[in-house]
Amino acid sequence: MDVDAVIQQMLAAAKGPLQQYWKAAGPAAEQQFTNIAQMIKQIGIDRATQTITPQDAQDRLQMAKNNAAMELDTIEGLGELAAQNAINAALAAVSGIVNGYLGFQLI
Amino acid sequence: MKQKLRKSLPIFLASVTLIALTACQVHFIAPYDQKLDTAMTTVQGDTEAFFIKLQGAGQTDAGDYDANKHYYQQTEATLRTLLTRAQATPNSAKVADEIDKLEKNVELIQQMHERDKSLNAANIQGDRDSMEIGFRAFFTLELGLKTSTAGSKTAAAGKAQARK
Repeated sequence: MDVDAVIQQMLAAAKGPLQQYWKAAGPAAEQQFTNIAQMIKQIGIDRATQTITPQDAQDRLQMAKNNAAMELDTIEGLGELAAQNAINAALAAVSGIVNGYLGFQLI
Repeated sequence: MKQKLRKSLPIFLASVTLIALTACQVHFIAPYDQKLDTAMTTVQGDTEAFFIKLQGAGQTDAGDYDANKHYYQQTEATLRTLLTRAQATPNSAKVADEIDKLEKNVELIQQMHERDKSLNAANIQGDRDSMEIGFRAFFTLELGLKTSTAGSKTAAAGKAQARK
């Protein structure tokens, strides 16, 4: 199996749904797809030597899928954190002016 | 374009005012949780020790499922407790989902171990690497939250000092 070709096909398929997050999520997605492709290759080797059952192969693929989902959770979480910090910084930056203008503490 | 801006400006101003009136600060994601971080560090340490033990045991009885099932029981119980804590915390869905996925991965390893009685060396290393990826994702988010929370506290302290 050509691991690089499999990775490229997975990346091409994922680019659509992930389009607007690609800049942030692309490198992590590529790493996860590399892990999955290498795992599939190893499963093929292990099957040839009868050291893995089809059920175990499915369970290990599910673990890799769970890891990919966790990576995306982290990227999304850090994105929410950045947005939260940006809004709070913007409000904090004008709090003195706004509160002084209004004569009471709004922000 | 100008018309579009004119239409969206009141909505933007209303949003900013609402944010200012309701909380002064927005919270899209829950702040850093020291207890979660500490407990998950223990889980990771136990997991690493478990895999090292399995790698050392090889195909002996010490590597059998029955000799190791206490690790799965203890780890799943701890992760379930952490999951409940995260689920009960507002705006903590991402952290909760990561804990849930970590628990599911431990369950999958348990199922394979129980089914096959013992795990071979290549699979133990693969499962160890897989768990490390999950822990890394969790701690990357926790570190981001920790840094952000520390920054917020410093800013709040500065603001309080300025008011005095």
